[in-house]
Amino acid sequence: MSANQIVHNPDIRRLQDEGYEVEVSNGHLLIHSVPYVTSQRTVALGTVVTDLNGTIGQLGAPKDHQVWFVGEFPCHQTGAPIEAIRHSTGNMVLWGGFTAQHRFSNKPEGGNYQNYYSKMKRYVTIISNEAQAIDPAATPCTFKLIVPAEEGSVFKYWDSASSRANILPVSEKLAMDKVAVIGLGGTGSYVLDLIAKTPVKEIHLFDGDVFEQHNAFRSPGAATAAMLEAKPNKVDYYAQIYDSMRTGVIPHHGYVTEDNLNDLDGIGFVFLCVDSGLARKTISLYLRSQGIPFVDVGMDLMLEPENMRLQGFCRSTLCTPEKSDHFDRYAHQGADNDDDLYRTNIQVADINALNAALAVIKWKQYRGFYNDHYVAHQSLYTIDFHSLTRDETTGAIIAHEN
Amino acid sequence: MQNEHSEDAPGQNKTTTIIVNGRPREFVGHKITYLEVVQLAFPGATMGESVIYTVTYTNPHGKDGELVNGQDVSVKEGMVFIVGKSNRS
Repeated sequence: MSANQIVHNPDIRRLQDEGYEVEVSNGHLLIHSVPYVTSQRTVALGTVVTDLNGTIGQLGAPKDHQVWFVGEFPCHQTGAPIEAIRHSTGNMVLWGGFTAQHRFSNKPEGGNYQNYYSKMKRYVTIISNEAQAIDPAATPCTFKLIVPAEEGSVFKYWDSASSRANILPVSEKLAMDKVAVIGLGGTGSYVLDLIAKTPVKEIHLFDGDVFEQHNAFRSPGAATAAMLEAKPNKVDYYAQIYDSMRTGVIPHHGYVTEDNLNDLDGIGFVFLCVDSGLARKTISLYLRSQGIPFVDVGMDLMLEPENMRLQGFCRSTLCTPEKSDHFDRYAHQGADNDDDLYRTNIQVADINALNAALAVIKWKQYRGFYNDHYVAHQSLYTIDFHSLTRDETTGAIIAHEN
Repeated sequence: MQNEHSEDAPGQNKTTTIIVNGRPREFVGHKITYLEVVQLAFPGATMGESVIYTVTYTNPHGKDGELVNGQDVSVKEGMVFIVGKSNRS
């Protein structure tokens, strides 16, 4: 997001015009250098912080009436704490490297603040008026300009899903430099959809295929007929779509083969979403030799001719530098000959999406975003049983069963 | 308990009906291996180191699970197996 877009927001602009030291960072609005009275009746400077709601240029109403504060608990000119704003105190990590000490709660008349200007102004005034009583020169209006850029953010608008839930410090565990999706079929496209919404800096897409009509029925979103007629490369099609939301989606034309394996050097995590057993073998061997962790996915849907129902499962297998011995037992890596008995290629979007979600959840567990009690490297969902099984665990010891 | 592991223990020659990929199959014995399940699903299927089938099972009174080459599981009446390749994406 550009600094200009934020400055052009009328609420923030107004605060800035009045001289408040405004900054926008990690989906939050900060006012720095707010003078307040300490319990020793001295004047110190603190920071008032609120999370932001809405999109660039069009902020929504504040989602609540509370703010955070960086500093000691502010007092009246007498040195007694301002109890009217007290909510809670503790180390509150808002995002990596940024911690607030207090949360304030002060409802306006009517119950809600109409906008961020009135919300921030209210708290700053309550706090700094006491400081001015001690030191008439103390003012929050320093007119110091902080360029409110969100450098380093991949998103074109704030990740308010994380800031609303106060899980930005958890989300940051996913902010890897480079992740790759190899194969943008049904499952790979849903993988992309899910990881595009995480703060991964670069998502490298590898596929040599054209986006065709059947792909539209097992990928996220809704392609128009005109998009299909243009016969775009899959990687270009997806790079363009996700460009609406974020930066860093990088298309690589062509399949990954023996000849270009080193294109994967420097990738931190790979989602291996290919159909071909031989491609799976070539790529997985290379990733293992380079110590690049990956999740391999695969599904099989079979038609039961007797009752015309589909049956089958989807698999996601994690392979890391710490554990890869299991991979060859679970992932088919042979030739897919035409004489291969019973070969089918039925795929349905919901199972593609589920397979992708299981793979992405596994990656998030590997990164410490989700808890992972058993650290299962093998996971299988079977439609017929509605069952999800875990194997190849390295976590907690499971009671032995005979 | 000791009898369970003996060659001529009761149950060793018992015939059980299991469901493999939707079809009822008769199986004689106490434990069924990965390879036996694959052969029941796909008689004459090519087996080899690089050909990996995915074998998953459930049973009405037990735990769901997955079998890989070298593993087996106790057979129970009415147990259901699904066998395929899990190689599509």
